[in-house]
Amino acid sequence: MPDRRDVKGLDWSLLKRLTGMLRPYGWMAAGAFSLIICAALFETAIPLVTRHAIDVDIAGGDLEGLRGTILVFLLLVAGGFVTRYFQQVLTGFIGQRIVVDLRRSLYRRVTSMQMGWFDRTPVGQIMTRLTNDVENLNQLFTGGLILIFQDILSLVLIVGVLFWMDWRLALMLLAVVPVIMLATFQFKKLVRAAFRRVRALVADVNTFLQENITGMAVVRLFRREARNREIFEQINTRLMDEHLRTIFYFAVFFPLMEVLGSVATAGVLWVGGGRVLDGVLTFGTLVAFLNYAERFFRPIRDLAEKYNILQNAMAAAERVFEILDRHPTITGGEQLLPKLKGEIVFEHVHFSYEKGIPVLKDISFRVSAGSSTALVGYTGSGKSTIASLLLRFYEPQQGRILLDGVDLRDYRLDELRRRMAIVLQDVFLFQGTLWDNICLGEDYPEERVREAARRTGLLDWVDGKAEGFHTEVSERGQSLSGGQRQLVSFARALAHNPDLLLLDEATSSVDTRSEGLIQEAIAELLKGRTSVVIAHRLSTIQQADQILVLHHGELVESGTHRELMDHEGIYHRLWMLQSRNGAAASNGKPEA
Amino acid sequence: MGRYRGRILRGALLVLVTNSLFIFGPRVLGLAIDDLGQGLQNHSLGWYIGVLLGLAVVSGVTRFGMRQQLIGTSRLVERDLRELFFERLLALSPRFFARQRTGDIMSRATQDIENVRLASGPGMMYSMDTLMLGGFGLAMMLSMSFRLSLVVLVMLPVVSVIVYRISKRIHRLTLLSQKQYGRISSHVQESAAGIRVIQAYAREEYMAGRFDGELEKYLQIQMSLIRTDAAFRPLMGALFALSQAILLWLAGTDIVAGKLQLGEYVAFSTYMSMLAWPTIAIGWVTNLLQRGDAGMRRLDEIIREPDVLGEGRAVGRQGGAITLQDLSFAYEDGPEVLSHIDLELPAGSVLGVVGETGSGKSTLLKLICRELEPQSGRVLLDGKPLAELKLDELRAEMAVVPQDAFLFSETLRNNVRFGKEHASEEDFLRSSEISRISSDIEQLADGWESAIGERGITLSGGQKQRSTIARAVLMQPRVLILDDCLSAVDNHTEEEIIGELRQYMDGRTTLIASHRLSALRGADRIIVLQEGRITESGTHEQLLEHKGLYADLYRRQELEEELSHGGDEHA
Ligand SMILES: Nc1ncnc2c1ncn2[C@@H]1O[C@H](COP(=O)(O)OP(=O)(O)OP(=O)(O)O)[C@@H](O)[C@H]1O
Ligand SMILES: Nc1ncnc2c1ncn2[C@@H]1O[C@H](COP(=O)(O)OP(=O)(O)OP(=O)(O)O)[C@@H](O)[C@H]1O
Ligand SMILES: [Mg+2]
Ligand SMILES: [Mg+2]
Repeated sequence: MPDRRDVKGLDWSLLKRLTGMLRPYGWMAAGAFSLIICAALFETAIPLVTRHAIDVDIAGGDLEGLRGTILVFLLLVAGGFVTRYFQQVLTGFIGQRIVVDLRRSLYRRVTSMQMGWFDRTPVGQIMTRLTNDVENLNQLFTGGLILIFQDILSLVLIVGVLFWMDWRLALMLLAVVPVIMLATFQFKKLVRAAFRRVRALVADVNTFLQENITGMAVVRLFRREARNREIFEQINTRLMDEHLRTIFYFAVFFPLMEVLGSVATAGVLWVGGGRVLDGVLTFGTLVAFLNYAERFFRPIRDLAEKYNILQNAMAAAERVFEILDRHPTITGGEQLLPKLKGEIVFEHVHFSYEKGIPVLKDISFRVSAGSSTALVGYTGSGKSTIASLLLRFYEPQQGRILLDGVDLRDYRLDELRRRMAIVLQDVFLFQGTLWDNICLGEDYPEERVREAARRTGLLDWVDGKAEGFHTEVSERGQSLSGGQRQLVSFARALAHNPDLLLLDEATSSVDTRSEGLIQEAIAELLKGRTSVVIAHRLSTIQQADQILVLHHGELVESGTHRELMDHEGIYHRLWMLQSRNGAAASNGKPEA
Repeated sequence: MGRYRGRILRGALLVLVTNSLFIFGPRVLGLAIDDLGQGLQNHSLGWYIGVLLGLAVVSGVTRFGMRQQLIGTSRLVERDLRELFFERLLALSPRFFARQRTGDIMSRATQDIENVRLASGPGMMYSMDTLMLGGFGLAMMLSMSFRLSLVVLVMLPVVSVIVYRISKRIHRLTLLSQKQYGRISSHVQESAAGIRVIQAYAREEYMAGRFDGELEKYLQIQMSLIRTDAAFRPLMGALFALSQAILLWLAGTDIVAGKLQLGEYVAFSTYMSMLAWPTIAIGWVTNLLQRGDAGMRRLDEIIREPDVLGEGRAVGRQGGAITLQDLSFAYEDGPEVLSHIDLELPAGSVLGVVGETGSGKSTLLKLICRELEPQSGRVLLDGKPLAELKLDELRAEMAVVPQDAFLFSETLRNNVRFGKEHASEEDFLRSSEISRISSDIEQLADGWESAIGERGITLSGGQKQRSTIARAVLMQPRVLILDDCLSAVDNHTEEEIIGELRQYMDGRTTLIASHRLSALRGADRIIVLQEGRITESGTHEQLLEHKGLYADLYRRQELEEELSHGGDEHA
């Protein structure tokens, strides 16, 4: 795969790959091409018919013949119409199917990418790949390639006819072509550069708007209105300046083309007129020439535009292929997973998100099947990272993780993840109903969903809503309170009925009373299941069979609540802080 | 647009000149051909060529001017509109943003502004151009032969109506297709933003299935669009060819009968193809103007939206006393979330807000910082209703740490400096010290300059929260509002932050909502919210005394601790 670069000329290997995408629609494409050829033939023949009418029928005063000629004329027109119609429908269809194929495979590729890729790739960029870029690429099939083929074909046909009629006049007409080409390509170059700047600025304007609309509350609260308006004015004005520049180019280019067209017409008149006077050229031919001149210049003028489309499409194709050629680095093995016992073993696991900044250092621990384990530590110590590794969002650089005695990497990815359920620290709710958010498209029986909602203490609230579980949730769940969002995400995990439950700060935004109720409600559910709980509120984890304390990515303490209290390390310190009055603190002491 | 009247007039004038020059070209050509037939009796060939070229060059120059003036104006209008739009957005009340989806506002800012621009530039230019070219062309043709002109007079309205119909249909389909396209892109957006959930629950296939459904719908719409579009141009071509054929027949018989010159036919036929464009354009331009009009109306909905945050008077630096009077609030078409809240908070005091999930704590805090506006009742700052204060000043007095840690995809430094770009390095370091984010800096690849990804994706939960605390602290406000801002922070760090904050809060009115009662230590007063009402209010001791929800929540923590100690003892 070539590096990211601006496609200069035409990249043939890319073009080959693109045309390869036509393969499933081979006969349709062939049909479209034959239709183009027919249409071009029909259209090129029309001025010849007019010539015949003028030179033979009208000059000879043969009205009967004229009628026949006009009939031929009409037949050609009808033929042109029908072939053009079917050709456009056909190419449109092929293009759309390719778009669907591409979007499907892109979407599947993107969603199977490893988390590290998402950390680096902005959502906006992913959207652009799947929407704009694919759309541009489609231009290659429906616009670029086909139109260029069509233009070249009619140019060749017209030039052929011109030379056949009168080579001197033909040469006269062709004389302006180099000038037009020159002007066109100069124009193309200027406009292309300007358009690139315009596109970048449009993207800036829109991103800025988007972020300001979604973050409007924050913009307001921090009094950024004036400053942001200033910034907006700047990019907005720059965009306008850039637009004005392109308008200038266009304002020069289009009239210039008209002038050049007139020059060619004048030239034809000059040479042709003399030859008519000499009696070597018929009027009909002169008229046909003038007619062809008109047809001749349009495609040449448009060629620049189409070349532009082509290049855009190629650049888009390159970006699209870049994703398609990138294979997810985290893939599953073959091992199926009928039922998980839930024994987890970390063996000397090292991990870092970015080179040189280790986040987990030589972590080893064992969680026996059916037991509960708590992860404790200062913020940023790597707790969520351990959960991410278990889900195989990331891959440890060293060491391995075993589940039921088998390396995580050997399991089929979807099977593995299906057996687990996590409440992520960063709650994400989709736009849709509460039901959709809990079930995520699985058709769970209503009882199961209600049960999950009941255990998380959501049920009364949901039943109090007019629409119950079918209440709509807005973007990112903004229409719910912070705690409610978390509870929905918790209910989602429970409804999933996992063999292994991961709770990453699952109740941090929930009041202690509800938290206590949830703990009671899930206690029986957790019996016999493995659970890993991350919590800063230590009251929620003291019953855990095992507590692991992380500090700067190292496992510094492990044991039961009792053992760790006796140890008087970090856990003990954290615990003392939580028991905020001295009485509780001194209560803890005598046990030591 | 009034301010560009001069430009538009100049443009219109140029359109007039261009077309009156341009229109003579075919006539001259026709005359030349006829003269050729008679052996050039009237003028030399060079004369004709000179006239043709002269006309072409002069009309080329004026055409250049007309584009510059008219299309240029549309870009000026576009910029002004966009600026006005953004300015209005900044002024609108939060109710508006709760009502309106981001995507909808964005489509107005992009699609509708573009439509207005198209109407005001190309739309205006082409409608003038079309009308003049059409008018002149018709006049020319009528002056040459009325009989032949009939062909055009019949064809013209027919074609215009067809174009109008079809382009209307195309427009309707285009809207549908844009809408579906919008659904596709929001699906992609949600999938990318929620990828952790999707992968964690192995729902890739399900999401892909839904995506396929959207794609299929899009394909259907696109295909009807393509079919309509595919018929359109060839149909136009065919109609014009048809009129050319009729012309050829009529002119042919006339020439044979000696009533018409060949040159006249050529000129006529050239005029006819020249008119082809205006006839198509009339339908197209009408559509363009209509769309522009619709776009402008949609923009007006926002530009003239009356639901703005009122600008009050400037009153100068405030003390920070907050009073709530009979405050009630409900979200759009929802039940009442807060009812009849009364509260008196002296300047410089600390208020704790406690309550169960969904009891209305965040809502209350949002009302106090005027992120929301109450349906009834008032919020007063130093005795003056918030609505009467100058918003900018009000914001200068308040800093908020929202429950949702929203960060921008910027460097960490810029995020902390968000509210005060020009804060001194000293203040900056101090605020990062208070929020304890400074201690994590060495863990980040590029320190303060680390790009933290969208919404701060590469930070840990606690790091994100602490960044937002630093951002607020740097503002040095009179009133500090903390909404559950230590939920992702461990006890040790919490203790440190609270310690630092206590000193910082001195002299600042502070409101803290929290589920961790430990964060409320030192509050002068604590209120308990239950289903939107204040049910308990007082100091920590008073509330314990009261034995209500607060005491229950408090004992719950105590009790659990004791329980566990007890459990240990049994073990
Ligand atoms: N996606 C990521 N890319 C790069 N660095 C990351 C990423 N996620 C976390 N980190 C860094 O890794 C370290 C550990 O983060 P982690 O989220 O595991 O902490 P944590 O123990 O869960 O903290 P908290 O209690 O605040 O949630 C932090 O320094 C954080 O900045
Ligand atoms: N934007 C919104 N639109 C509609 N309803 C909302 C919106 N925001 C909150 N609500 C509802 O208003 C009620 C109060 O929400 P609020 O966020 O004030 O609760 P809270 O006390 O802050 O809860 P938590 O402790 O969970 O943060 C909840 O029932 C919630 O569902
Ligand atoms: Mg975490
Ligand atoms: Mg809240």
